Amino acid sequence: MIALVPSLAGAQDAWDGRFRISVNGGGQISRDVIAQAFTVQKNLEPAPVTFDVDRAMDVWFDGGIVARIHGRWSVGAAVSFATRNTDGHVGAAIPHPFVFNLPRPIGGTVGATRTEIAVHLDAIYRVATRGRLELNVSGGGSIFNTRQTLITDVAYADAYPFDTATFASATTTRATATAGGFNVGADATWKRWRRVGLGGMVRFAHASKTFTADTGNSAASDLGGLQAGGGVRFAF
Amino acid sequence: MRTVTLGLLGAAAAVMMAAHVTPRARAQSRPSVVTATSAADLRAWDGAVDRLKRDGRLRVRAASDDPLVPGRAHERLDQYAGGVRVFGGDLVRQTDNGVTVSIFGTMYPDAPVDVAAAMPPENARAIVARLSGAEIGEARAPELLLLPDEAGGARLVYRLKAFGIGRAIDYFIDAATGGVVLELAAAERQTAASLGVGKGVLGDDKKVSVATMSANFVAVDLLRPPSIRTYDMRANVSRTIDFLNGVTGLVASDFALSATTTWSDPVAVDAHKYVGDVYDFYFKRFGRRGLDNRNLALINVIHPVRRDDVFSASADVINSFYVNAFYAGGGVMVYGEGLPPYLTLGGQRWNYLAGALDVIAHELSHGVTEFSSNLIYRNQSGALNEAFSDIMGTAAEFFYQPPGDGPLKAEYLMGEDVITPGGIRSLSNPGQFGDPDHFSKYVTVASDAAHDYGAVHTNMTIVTHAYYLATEGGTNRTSGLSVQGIGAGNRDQIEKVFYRGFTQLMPSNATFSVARAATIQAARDLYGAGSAAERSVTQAWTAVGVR
Repeated sequence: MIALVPSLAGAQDAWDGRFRISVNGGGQISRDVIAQAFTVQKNLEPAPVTFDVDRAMDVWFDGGIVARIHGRWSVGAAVSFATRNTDGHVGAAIPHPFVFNLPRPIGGTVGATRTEIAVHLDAIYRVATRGRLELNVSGGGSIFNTRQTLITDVAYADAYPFDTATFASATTTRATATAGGFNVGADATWKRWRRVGLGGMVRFAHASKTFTADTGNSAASDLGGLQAGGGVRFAF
Repeated sequence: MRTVTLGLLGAAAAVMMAAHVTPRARAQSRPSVVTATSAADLRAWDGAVDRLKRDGRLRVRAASDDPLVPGRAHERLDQYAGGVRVFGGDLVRQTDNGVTVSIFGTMYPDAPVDVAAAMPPENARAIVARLSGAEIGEARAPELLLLPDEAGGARLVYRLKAFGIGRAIDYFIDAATGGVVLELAAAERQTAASLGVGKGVLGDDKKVSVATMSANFVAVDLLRPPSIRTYDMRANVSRTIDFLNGVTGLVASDFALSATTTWSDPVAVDAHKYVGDVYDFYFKRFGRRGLDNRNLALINVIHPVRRDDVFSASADVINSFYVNAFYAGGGVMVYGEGLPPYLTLGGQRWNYLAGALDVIAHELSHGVTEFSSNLIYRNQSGALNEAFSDIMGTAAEFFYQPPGDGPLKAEYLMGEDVITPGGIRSLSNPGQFGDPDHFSKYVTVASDAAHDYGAVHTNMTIVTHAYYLATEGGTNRTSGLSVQGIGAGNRDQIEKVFYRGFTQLMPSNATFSVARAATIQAARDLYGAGSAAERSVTQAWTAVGVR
């Protein structure tokens, strides 16, 4: 997604100023799957429950400021926000009410929301400039704060003779995790107007953390991912 | 006074003569046995049945669709004369989309009877109370019946059950004189005897479906369609008998209970669990909903006595409430306490009788019989009644337990988990317990209580052995005839055949020959003429000498 921004025409030399601000929109891609596995007591036996959420692509927004400090070197700080609403798959094996060791499989989907805010502190190096086009690379540390939907219980429907059961719903909770990681990226800016340009960027930001639900069950997850998008650049 | 005759045979014969056919109503002696399966027999009997229904001399007792064969339906018709039911006179008609497929039954001949009761039913209740020594509650109303006799006549009687210590008798009282005409066993017994967890009698872990009540858990199953309740009589034998006689009811404080979800009484655990299991077995295997197919409430009665009191108990109490379990009618089962571990009876130890799945399935199956064929508890029909219970007891074991020897394993012994070693009967080798495996060894004795109503617990093994042979195959030790069984992998076929034959096709006064015909017909209904099931069943009956 590309964010719409005001545009101003301006002289080329404005881009030689000290600060730049960038606003981007796009997507965050991850191959990570949130895999939650735990047990709950059902019918006097432990019932194994799984909850899998394929993160795939999150909607992602990013805003940052860059300060040139010397020559080709700059430092920058960016805040990114990624979110995704998707269906996670719930699976469980519900023990039979009358018989030990006779689980009945159930499965269904539950809406799962993930929101992730990250702060990236980077060193930036201008690799090349050709005409109005400029290419920068960056790298640094990232701090992620992520909220993820997990489940704590399942509800099911069954009826005599209870040999089968069907998924009804799941009790959800929002688990929060904060973790530090790293990022590397590249930014290409087309200095279209005096103070405003257009650009695109990619960034790989990563951390690992385990989410823990209120009831104690947990799920490990990668934070961040491959962020790609475009937007506007302001120079002043 | 009004006198009527039992004219069913005359009416049927008239129809038959008009049709120029000869139905196979074998007049071995009166009564006549109907086994109509051929087209000619069916044409004749079908018309006769319809005519007798219009006349009110046959009345529909029960009609139901067949849960096993789509399109089939079963109709049970009781014989009436002068508005009074004829005991043992009934027909079972099976139809396929309205076309009659089979008729089995027993029809009684003409006989003059007086249908005006000479005394009111209250007098009969008083007579039974005096005879039994039991108080009979108002809830138990005597039933007026015509009781056919061997001379071809019939007597007007009142029928009423009474339970006493050591005796559970179904009395037939002459409605004119007040004399006892017939006594049958009222308790068809194994002669000789929200969720919770707990260990059963044999120490195995079980779940039980219970309910919460006043901070306790009580043995009331709320998950299954029928109400299943287990009552702990806390060794109050007189109260137990009063309950069985309808003098007193059981209340919530009588429930077997536990303060936690972990139940500590293995008898309550097993009785409650196994009754639920047997209900499930009948439902899953045959589509049957409980004893009456209408989810009749099931009531377990445990701990009627205290084990340690056995030394001061009378022989009758020991025989009834220690080394016995019985179905008392109306969905009530009573389980004996067994004997202290250091005591033996007949060289065997007797554990709590609720601890054996086959024992409980046996007793509940008496209830199934009560509400289906209602096989009369004497002579051949009585032996068939007992045989059906052993067959279903064994089938339930194989449904839940792995085959093998030892505790909690399925095999062809009855009661072997709690009566050790060996149990009390064998379907595979009846001779192991001195029981007959062939009709030539049928024990003919008087059909009174002293002779087990015609040795029903002895002669039953001829039938149960036929079931065994039809399932497993083998050679009958007496006739030397071999049977190609259906095989253990297809045991459900023979179970369904016997279930169908006994519950849906068989009349109340059936003989072994009728049982043979009914089960063969059931095999054809379910698996087709010439099927392996029909072959196995036919060979099995032949091998045990029943033609």
